[in-house]
This record gives sequence, C-alpha cells and structure tokens, in this order.
Amino acid sequence: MVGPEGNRNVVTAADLSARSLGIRIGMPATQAQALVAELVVQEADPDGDSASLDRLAVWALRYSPVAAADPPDGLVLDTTGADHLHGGEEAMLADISGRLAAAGVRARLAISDTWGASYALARVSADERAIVPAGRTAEVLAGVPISALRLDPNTIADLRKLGFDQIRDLEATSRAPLTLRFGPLVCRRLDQAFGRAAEPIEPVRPPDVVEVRRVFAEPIAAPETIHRYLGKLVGQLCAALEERGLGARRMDLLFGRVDDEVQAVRVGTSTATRDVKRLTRLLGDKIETVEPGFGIETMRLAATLAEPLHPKQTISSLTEEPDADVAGLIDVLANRVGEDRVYRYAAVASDVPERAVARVAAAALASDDEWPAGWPRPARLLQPPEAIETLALLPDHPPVSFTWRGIRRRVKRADGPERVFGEWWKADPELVAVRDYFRVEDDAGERFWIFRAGDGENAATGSQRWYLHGIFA
Amino acid sequence: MSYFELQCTSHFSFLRGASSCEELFAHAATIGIGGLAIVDRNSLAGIVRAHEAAKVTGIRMIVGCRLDLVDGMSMLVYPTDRAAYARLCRLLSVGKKRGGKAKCVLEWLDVLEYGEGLIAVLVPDEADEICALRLKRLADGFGDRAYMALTLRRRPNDQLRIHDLSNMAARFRVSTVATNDVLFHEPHRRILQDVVTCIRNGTTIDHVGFRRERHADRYLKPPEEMGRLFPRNPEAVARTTEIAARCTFSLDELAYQYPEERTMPGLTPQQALEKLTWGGVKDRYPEGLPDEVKEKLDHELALIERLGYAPYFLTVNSIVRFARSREILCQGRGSAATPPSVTSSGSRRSTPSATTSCSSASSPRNAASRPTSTSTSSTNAAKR
Repeated sequence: MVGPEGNRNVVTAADLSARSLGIRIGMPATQAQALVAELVVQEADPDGDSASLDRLAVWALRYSPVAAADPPDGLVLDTTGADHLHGGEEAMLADISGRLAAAGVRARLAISDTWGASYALARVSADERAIVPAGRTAEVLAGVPISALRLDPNTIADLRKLGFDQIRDLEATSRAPLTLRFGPLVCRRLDQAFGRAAEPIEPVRPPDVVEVRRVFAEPIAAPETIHRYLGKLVGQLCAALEERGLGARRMDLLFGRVDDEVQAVRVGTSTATRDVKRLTRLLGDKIETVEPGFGIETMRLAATLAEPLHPKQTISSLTEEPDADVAGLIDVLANRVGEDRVYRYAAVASDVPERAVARVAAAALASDDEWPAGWPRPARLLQPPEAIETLALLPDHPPVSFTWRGIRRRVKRADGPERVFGEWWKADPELVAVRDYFRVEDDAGERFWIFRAGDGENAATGSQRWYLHGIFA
Repeated sequence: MSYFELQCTSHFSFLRGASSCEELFAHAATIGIGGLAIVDRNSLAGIVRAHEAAKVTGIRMIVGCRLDLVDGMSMLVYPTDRAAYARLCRLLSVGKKRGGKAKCVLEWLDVLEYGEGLIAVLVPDEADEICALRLKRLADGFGDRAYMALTLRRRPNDQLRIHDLSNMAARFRVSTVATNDVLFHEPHRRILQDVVTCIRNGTTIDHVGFRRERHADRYLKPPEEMGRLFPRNPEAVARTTEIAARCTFSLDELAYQYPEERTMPGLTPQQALEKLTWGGVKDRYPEGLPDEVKEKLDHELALIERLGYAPYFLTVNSIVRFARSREILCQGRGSAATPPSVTSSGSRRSTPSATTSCSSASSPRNAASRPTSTSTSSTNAAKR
C-alpha cells in the first residue's frame, strides 16, 4: 500500500511477504519498487479503510455494548460485564479471533484494565491473545517499548535519542522536563495507560436498533432510583419492540456518567421476548455492577439483537395445561453464572460413546436423534477413559480380572464384545480404529464398561490396551 | 474345518453391497472359504457374474436370493435343483410385476406357493414373539428345508441373543446355520459401504447418523475365525456345508432353450419337418427328384435331427407362410436359413440344385450359436 506523505509517496502498509523482502512502512515508494522488482503496489484508501473499520466496530457490538473504532488499524471494546455471555475472557478472545480469521482478518487481541495498556499489548505482545489479570497492568506495562504509547513517530524517535526505550524509563523520569520538551501528550498517554487518567470510549451505535433513552436534569446515583427509571425504560422499549413485531435477544443498558465515562450492562435471553417484568428483573440483577461515580446523566436502553416475535394465542381450553415456560429461569441463571454454564444434554447419532451426547443450548429444541433402546449404556462415562491393567485372552474374551485405580477386581460375568468402529470421516487415525467394549460384573456385583483399543488381532486397529470407560449405576 | 458363507450381498443389491462378485470370490479363495452364496435383495442379478467368478477362482458358488417380504420378514432361499430355480425366478417375476420399477412386493403366501425345492433360512432380528411366529410359519411351510441364520452383530447382548435364538430354533425343531451377513469382502470396504448408504438415504456422512449399517464386521472371515466366533454353536457352522451340499443346482444346467414349435399335432418337430420337406419336393421337382438333391436332403435332415434344429426351421416355415398369405415379399437371409430342406419344404422358391449346400458349414455344433432368424434382405438375395 502506498499513500502520499507530504509531497512524496511512501509505503503505508506491507504484508508479511513484502516485509520479509525488506520493505518497511514509511519507506519511499520509489525505493521499495527499486528494492523488489515485482512489487505489487496499490494506492492506499484511508477513507475506505476507516469506513470498513467503523463497520467492524458495529460488528464488534455483538461482544460488548461499548465498542469503537480505534483508527487507523484497531478496535477498542469495553468488555466489562459482557464477557460472561461468551464464556469468559479467554473464550471470548478465541471467538473474536476465530470469527475474524474466518472473514480473512488476522487480529491481535489483548485485554487489560485500560485502553492504553490493551493498545500497547495488542501490538507488542508475543502472544496473539494477551490477557492481563486485573490490577497487574502496571508491572506488565513497565517492560513495553515506548513505541506502543500512541505517540506520533517523531516524538518517539526523539525520546529514543534521549535514551528512553521502555515505558519504565519514562515512568522513572520527572514529568516537568518531559512536558516542557514534548508537550502534555506524553504524560497524558502514560496516565491513560496506567489508568490514572480517564479515557472514555465513545461507542458506535449500530443503525436500526430499537433504542430508548432518558436524560436526567439532575444526575442520579441511588440504586433504587436507577431501578425505577430502568422499569420505565424497559416498558418503553417493549412497547417499541411490539410495534415492530420484534422480541429482544440481547439488551444493552448504557449509563452516561457526569464525567463522560460510559458504564454498560448487557443481558441476553434464550428466546426472543418482550416481557417487561422478566427483562426488568434481568437488568435489575445487574445494576449492582454499575459504578455511578458522581452521578448518571443519561440512561440508554437498546435491544441490540432482536428477532421477530409474533403474538401467540394462549391455550383457552379448560382441561389443557400449558407447558411450563422455563425460559425465564434459564435467562436468570445464564445471566448470573454465565451462558455456557446453563445447558442441556442431547443425544447424538454416533456409536462412539464420547460423541453420543452433546451440550446444547438450554432453550434448544429437542432433537430427533435417539439412542437405540435395549443397548445398556453406563450412567457415568469417564472422560477420558482410564487405563486399566488386565488379564485377558485375545481376541474375543473379556478380561479375567482387571485393576482400576489400584483395586484388583475379578470379573464374574461379562458381555461382549461390542465392536465400535472409528468414524472415519472425522479423522485419519479413525479409518481403521476399532474398540471392543465389554460389560463386566465383578465379585461385588458392580458393573463396569471396559474396552480394548483394537480388535485383538490386527495391530493397526489400536494399541490393544484396556481402558475403563464407564460405570453402570 | 470347512465353512460356506451363505449370506453374501454383492453390489448387485444396489447401494447396499460394496464389493463385486469377483472381489468376493477372489478374497474367499485366499482365506480358504469353501463356497459363497450370493444373496442379493429380491434379485438374482448378481449370480451370472458370481458364476463366472466362481469358475475363475475354483470356489463353489451357490445360487441364492434374499427375500424381503412386505410384512418385514427376511429370509434367504437357495434352490436345490433346476425346477426350484425356475420357481424362484417365477416368484421374483411375480413380485417385481406387482411392485413396479426397482420394487418387489412379495407376501408369505407367494413364497409358499413357489417354495417347493427351495431351502429357506430365516434372518431373525431379536428372539421375540414376532420371530417365533415367523419361525413357526417357516417350519410349517418348509419342513426340513427350513433353517434359521445365526449372525454375530457385535452389539450388546450378542451372545445372549444367539443363545435365545438357538433355543427358539430348537423349540420349533429348526436347525440353525451360521452366516456372516457379508456386505463387503474386506474390512476397509466399510468406508465405501457407508458412502453408498448415504447415497441410498440421500444424505451426507455427517448427517447419516444411525441410518448407517450398525451391525459391525460385515466382511468375509476365514473358516477358523467363524469357528472361533461360534464356540457354542459348532453345529451351526458345520451346517453351512450341509446346506451347500443340498443345493445341487448350478448355472451350468441352464442352456438356451428354443420355444416349442408344433405345426402338426401328433408329430415331433423333426417328423413334421421331414413331412413338409418331402411334400415340398413333389411340388418343386414335378419331373422327379434328382439323386444329387436327394442325397443332400438326406444329409441335411440327418444333421438337423442330430442338432435338434427342426423347430427353428418350422418357425421359418410358419413365418414365410404367414408372409405369403399377406403377400409380403420375403426372402431368406444369409447362409443359415437356406439349405435345400428349406426350399424344399416350400419356404423358398428358388431351385435348390442351383444353391450350394452349406448347412453343414453354417451349423456348427455349438448350441449357443443358433442360426439367425429370417428376415428379408434383398442384398443377400441378390447375391445368390
């Protein structure tokens, strides 16, 4: 990518292969072309870039209600109180980078206490997904080079000339001469990175979102007051949703504080809903996480994810009992303990025991798959199967005895083998893999499900070692 | 130890079997199986290829068929002789005519009607009441020609199932026989089998789920392994040999059969042909039969008698007679249909003495190559 800088063209961006050939950002375009004969040069399009970055910021709202573009090449998200919907910080980062990669964007991600620190870590950390635990930002930042401080390149070059290399060097210097020499920005960036100065994020708002807001003449702070207005906002939002035939799946409640800081609460629901009572309760549970500071000036409530929800006729028969609706319970639990911790198990049509069950969303519809009746399966499945010592005749016989967790058990009765083949379309080693399962009963009448990896004859089918895979109730 | 695999499905059971007859027989030869019975579903389509493969490999081939009846009962049938084979073919024709394309609708009563001389093996699922009912039906209908298949499925309670089934068979005085329900010749073909199952169900391998073949180990196993797998039922394994011995029918018994041609009641075709010939001679040679022609006719009639071709010439005669009655121009074609006996019997109008006799040359004693049927061909006629 080549763009004008002053009266000459310079390289503004280069991909990995170009960089490996010696192309550097900031290098004059003519020099780059002289260096690599077959260089593919394209005109930079800063306006297009920033527009697409804005679109990406809108997309990032799925993760957090406070997201904004951080030009020229970054996104910033305030994920406080939002990560639990995605299974925690780590899972959320993995999800973000996975989705971006699927769209052809290679991303470096960092989570920390402040915008400045995350900015620096995302650019200099060796790890593509860096997470700094709360409160440890200062020690991590100390070793970061000053180039990651969001200062202009000239300032950084001058600081380098003075011998400042890492942030800890700057921290150790007295501030007055620095401010005198370089202006106030250097110290402000330092303060922002360490969290000593506030740095509000002005979130992008996605188009076409059902949103209601309330501006307070007098800032409010008491939880009861917040609660009262919350109820009113939810009522308005639900009315607006009903007008459009929509139901909320995800709602963002944003509090604009007097000091321009934005606090956010996000809740998700398992099914589309516009039940005022239920939504108020969900949001109300979260209000305690909000820090009102010197007072809240505005409250905005938006249904950032909405699905069509049409009025349904209720059962009018006197005899029929309506099905209990557990969606409300699921939502309360999911928003308290995390969405990934509320789930159901569903049968999967697979002969491999580990794959015969899957976690599905708590509100998912029942699937048609069913396990075959009459094939006993243990109530408990060990994950992973545990290796056991056995004494067995190959190839068809169950073990005479086996030792599991240090206890030797004599096999009284056995049924098998049940032969389970690998699912060859899943992985190459499963092309020939075989397991022979036996149901065995020991002296005490306890029943176990054990298997031999391999068919007992052909070495290619498995290691011929024995494992205990389940315990019958 | 000898073992005959009596339940092999070839790929002529479309989208079920995954191995060709050639592969099945070649593999059987390497692992020492005495013989294979190809039992495709409601079809005998595979047996010709199987017959050829059996000849190449030197392994015995037993003709068989798996009948899936509309009430869900499945049985294997093996014709013991040629007449039974004919009845089996007739039975399948009846079923296919009823079912239309790619379907075969058969009821138990049909099987009974055409079941004479067939050995019937019940393919049971679980040892339950339905199975008992079917077994009783089979035992009543087929007597000592009824058997029940014992097949390991490698699924939970397998041994118990085999035990219950063999007890039930003993209760109805039906013998059991070990089969392996083979779908492919060697273990690695399972992948192809899964794929064809997906095609049959119109789905992908990720979504086919439990519609895959769930009973494992559907490949050919050596006799020793079969013996090892049925330690409590050695007689069932041995009985495969017994059934193979009872099925004496071989495809070699089938040869081309010319339809009957009876122009003159009370006379054999040969007598009829001779009568027509000598009758025709009088019209053709009013002034008396030259010795040369008579010699030729005697020679040809003897040859025709030896090869049993008389019905064919009678067919030609009746076609020509019909054509003449409608004033359709008709001329013999090629060398095959124009020996003097033909012209003499009135089939042709040319003078026999002008033709060269070539019936000896054109009727090789190979029964498979019959003289081609007559049709008008002016080019050939003009040549003469």
